[in-house]
Amino acid sequence: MSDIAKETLKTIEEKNITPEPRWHFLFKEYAFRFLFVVSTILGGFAVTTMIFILNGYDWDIYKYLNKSQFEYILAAIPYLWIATFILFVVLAYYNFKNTRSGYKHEVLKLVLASVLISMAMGTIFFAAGLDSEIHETFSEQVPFYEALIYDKDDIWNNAEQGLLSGEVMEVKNRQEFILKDFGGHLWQIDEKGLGTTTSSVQKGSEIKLIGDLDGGNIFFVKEIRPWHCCGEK
Amino acid sequence: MPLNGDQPNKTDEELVVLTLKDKENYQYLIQRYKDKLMRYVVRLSGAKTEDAEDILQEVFIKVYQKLNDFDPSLKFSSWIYRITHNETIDHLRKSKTRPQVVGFESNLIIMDLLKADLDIIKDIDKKYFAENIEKIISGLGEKYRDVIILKYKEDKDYMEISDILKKPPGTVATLLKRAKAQLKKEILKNGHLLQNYV
Repeated sequence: MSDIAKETLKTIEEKNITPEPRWHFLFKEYAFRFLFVVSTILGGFAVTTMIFILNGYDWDIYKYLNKSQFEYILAAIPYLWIATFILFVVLAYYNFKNTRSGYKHEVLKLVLASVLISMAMGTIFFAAGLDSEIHETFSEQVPFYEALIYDKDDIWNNAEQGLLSGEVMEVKNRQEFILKDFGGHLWQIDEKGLGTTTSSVQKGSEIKLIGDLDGGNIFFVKEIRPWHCCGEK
Repeated sequence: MPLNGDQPNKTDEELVVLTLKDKENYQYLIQRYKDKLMRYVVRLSGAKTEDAEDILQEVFIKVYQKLNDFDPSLKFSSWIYRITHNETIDHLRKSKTRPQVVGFESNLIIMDLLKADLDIIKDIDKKYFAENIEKIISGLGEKYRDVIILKYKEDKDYMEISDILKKPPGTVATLLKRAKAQLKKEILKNGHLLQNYV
């Protein structure tokens, strides 16, 4: 064997090869760690938004929509956020795996840890009230976002099937008010079926109604729910 | 290149620090590892001596460039084996060649090591084994071949193999178990069971 030590040193000398500075490697290492943390946090955001969507879902109204319970539950699943969550779990796994000691951990344990950390973060964010902020930011900023999640407006715009929503325009008396639905159509709402003596709504509030249509423009309400759920603005 | 001073008595880790101060110290690390790594490159790739020397020189240059990336929580030998492994595999991929069957200089040693692990070994024709084990090993999938070579030819333990191949120790154990099962199967398939030889 030729004198490889001599030849290697000669090549190093001739080509002026130097060891890469330590900061290059440290930068790479900390970049992966940072991206792991970021991916986990973003996974947490995905979880908190999923909780928000599921929490605000009206689980009991499938009977008004001519849908089976199963069909209605399927429609509730926030596929977009599940896909986003999976993406960030994969990114978190990839980034951790590429840290200096990441290879020492089993794939399954890493993925599981990443899922659990994101879920824990998501729960914390939800408890801190970040859920509606994230959902609204996406609704306002991300094109087609609302089309990709279940459409609350669409579900509650079915007066013929007993579901109506909109803004209270005028409270006429104790048992009657005028509602403008989100399509701009005006409805006369009759509250007699609620069995209360005073109107339960205020002008300007946004609400969801369950009831019956008389065939014309009068909607006999049986139940009133706030349009915004769970801290949503 | 003459070796002098106290460097030959230094640990690998101390030599890394010294090399970063003065590259002349790198020769001591090279002298320490050149034979072992040469054998490893040949075992892994089946390359001819000249090609193996080229690969090895690339390895030593790469190691030098990455000296600052050496993690003292690892054994230096595991780290340099890792770089050697990656360079050799890269070389094989670039040249689009499959690992070649190489001589069986150490096959009797391997047989002794395998003896404890594969209970069929005592029934195997030693001559057949020495002549064919390289072929059988090179016929295993890359991941199985790598662990078999590191375990039985390079005499590395699980943790070292884990650090060299950058796989979790549990995965190394599984790969080794499967590799041995496949090796046993291949030996039995092709084997000459001649108890009289043992």
